[in-house]
Amino acid sequence: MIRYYFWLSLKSIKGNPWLSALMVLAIALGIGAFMTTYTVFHYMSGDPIPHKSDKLFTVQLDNWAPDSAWDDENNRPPPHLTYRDSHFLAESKEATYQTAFFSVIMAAQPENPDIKPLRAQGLVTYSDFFPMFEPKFLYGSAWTRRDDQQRNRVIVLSKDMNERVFGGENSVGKYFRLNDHEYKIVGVLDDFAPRPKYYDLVNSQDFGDTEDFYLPFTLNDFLKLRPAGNNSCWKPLPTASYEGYLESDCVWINMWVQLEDEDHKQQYQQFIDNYVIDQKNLGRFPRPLNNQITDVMDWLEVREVVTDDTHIQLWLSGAFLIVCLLNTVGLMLAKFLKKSGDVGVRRALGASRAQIFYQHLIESATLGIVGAILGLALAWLGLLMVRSFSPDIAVLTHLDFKLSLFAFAVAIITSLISGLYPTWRICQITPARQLKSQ
Amino acid sequence: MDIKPIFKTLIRNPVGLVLIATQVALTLAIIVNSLFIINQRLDNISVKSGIDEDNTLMISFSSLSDSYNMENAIANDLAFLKSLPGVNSAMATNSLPLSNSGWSSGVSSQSDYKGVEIGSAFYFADETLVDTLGVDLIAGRSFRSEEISYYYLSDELEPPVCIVSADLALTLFPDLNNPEEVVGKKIWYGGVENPKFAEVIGVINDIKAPWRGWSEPIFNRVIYVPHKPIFGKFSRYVVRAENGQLDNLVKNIQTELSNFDDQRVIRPPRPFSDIREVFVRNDKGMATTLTIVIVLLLLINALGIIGLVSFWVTQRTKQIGTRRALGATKFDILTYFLTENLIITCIGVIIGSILAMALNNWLVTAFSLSKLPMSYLLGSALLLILMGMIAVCAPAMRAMNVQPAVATRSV
Repeated sequence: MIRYYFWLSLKSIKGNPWLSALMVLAIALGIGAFMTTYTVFHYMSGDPIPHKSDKLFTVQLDNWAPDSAWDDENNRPPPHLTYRDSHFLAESKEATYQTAFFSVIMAAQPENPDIKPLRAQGLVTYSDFFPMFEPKFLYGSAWTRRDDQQRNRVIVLSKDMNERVFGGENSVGKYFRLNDHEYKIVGVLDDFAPRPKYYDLVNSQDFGDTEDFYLPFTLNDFLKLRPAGNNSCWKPLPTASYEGYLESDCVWINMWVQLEDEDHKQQYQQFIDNYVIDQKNLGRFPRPLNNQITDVMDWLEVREVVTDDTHIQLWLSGAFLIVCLLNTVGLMLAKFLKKSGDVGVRRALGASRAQIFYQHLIESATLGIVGAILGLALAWLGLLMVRSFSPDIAVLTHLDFKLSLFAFAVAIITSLISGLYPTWRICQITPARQLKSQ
Repeated sequence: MDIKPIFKTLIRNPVGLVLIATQVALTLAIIVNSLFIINQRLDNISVKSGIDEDNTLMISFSSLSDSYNMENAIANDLAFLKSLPGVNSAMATNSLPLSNSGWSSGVSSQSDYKGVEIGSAFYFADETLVDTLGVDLIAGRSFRSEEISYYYLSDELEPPVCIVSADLALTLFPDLNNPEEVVGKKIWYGGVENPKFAEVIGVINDIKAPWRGWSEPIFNRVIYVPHKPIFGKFSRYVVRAENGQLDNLVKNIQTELSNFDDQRVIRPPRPFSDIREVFVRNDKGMATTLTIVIVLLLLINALGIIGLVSFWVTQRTKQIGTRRALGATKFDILTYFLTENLIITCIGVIIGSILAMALNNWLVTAFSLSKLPMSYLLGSALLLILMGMIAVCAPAMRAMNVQPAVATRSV
């Protein structure tokens, strides 16, 4: 029976090509606009590390100026920590894992004289970085806490850097030269590009670049590196030197910990609060106690990873879809009522209301399917446009199978909803009245 | 023209009225707010940086080894750059307007920081400031070469003199009649515990900070200090090309510099147009998206009206024929459909205006947009009414041409 109704609906579409085309166009435009913005929103608001996003926390301590808050509006402490505080927290091992890190830019000097020195962006971090954020290794593995303690000159390379310098071969055990120092390669990562890059939202474009290499934080005792990213100070350095910088209240270091459950979280909060109270006795931390540990998804919200523009576009395209839906209701009503005569005849020949109902519902669904296909094509075009405007969020503009399925579902549900009232109206037709006027 | 029968018809069969009016209302609400957002974004996009944008590029380098002499490199590079054909001027700096990264710090007009501390962007420059950037120095003088020194990251920032933007001058010293009078005044920095001052020697008009600033309006507040910055192994130049020579320079400058001294990594140059492009990218994207949404909405509405009114015309062919047979002119029929449509659209516009204001209220609270000016509402309402009239024309003309004889035939 469904096949027959489907055949009927195709016939009806052919019989009224203009009205049908208008309806398909309305559905397609609505779906196209909505799916374009929804796709971007979907990726932006996604969980970058679903299996443990509730166990990874970033730590903020409020060491800011006595008379002016870092952020008056929301009373948030600075997003970064000072060197001395992050160093203390990372060394104290109160959490399952903990790491402090900051990003640096250095010059990589390949041994192969054919390859010119190249700019490399890296993270200076603790070994815990790897078990916390779980990048996959192509070759070798992470360095160990023992390497951290012994200040061994080891390095982990990204897949991309390994390809550029070693042609993609297993380089574990070889040496890598950075700013005139050699480091032993212990591991090479596979592709590692969490979206958004939740562990460093302040300095990197949220959906942009990744690191080329990772060095032990403890090596900074000799390297004396400066951060390539954000650095904020509220008072002058105690002494004008690198040591003074490390002692200062300037904030520039990311701090993340892994905590297993609510109890663990409370213990850790207690621990950092106690630490800050101790520091207050030394004359630091002039502001009221305001230390925060925030998990991944909350952190994405605090940093407003999903931009206001994305929200506004999503809402507007939703409203646009509703306008298209209303439009389709009107057109479908016109189309169905045009066939009142047909329906009258079919009812007179014994078709039940239910049969008429199904027949027209299937016709709406058919329009929905055609609209969905066209709408997906339009969404694809729309995303192409988004990509050309915002290359920095290009990774967020791919319509995968799941999203396409979702688009289909939305299109068919939309067309069924818009078909409901016209279908109901057409079912009210009494056979006699229609036949009389013929 | 009597509107009463039209109303009666509409009320007897209100589905069409409800559908079209709701569509128009929603459309109006979306269009008004979109137009308003677009207009703000266009303002953002057309922002002037205050420097000679057409001829400027920025290029940075990092040295390889700790023993590399950065001061020599900068001095040699600048001499070399200035000797290149097509180069007008060059200097070492930390950042450019609109580049999204840079320095900022609080400054005050008083040593005890009573009154206010004003967040301001810090730029580094040498004696070629005016020549290299093409900024508009409206009072005082530029730096002198004996005032310029190197600045290392560990140093305390202690500029004896500075040049400020006109906006910063008026913000720091609200009593001034005009920004030119700020020359000779002292600007304090370094915090309450360790206050130091720099004397203002010049004022620049309309120069922008690297970023817009969210909590603080830092965009127009700029200070130039007389230093050549050395950030560890990293430094950066801004180069101004002769007119029409920028493209050539962008093509060759990286190779030229790296041939001149290969003990370092030279980054690809960024012409100012690139910097600007990145700065306005999101605004451009938003403005374009919303424009497309508006156009499509109008199109969908128009097509919907055409479709529905065509159906009505078909449905009423017999009545139209009868009316014509009873003496109604073609014009009567035309005005009937036009008026009917006008009534429907107007009802939609009225509801839509309320919706639009509600939507704007929500946008104001949720996304801190500003309040909607009435002119947008009026303009959009007129636009929609016009759209409705144009859309209804085609089916109404068809109705107008229905022959009176139709009334006598049975369908």
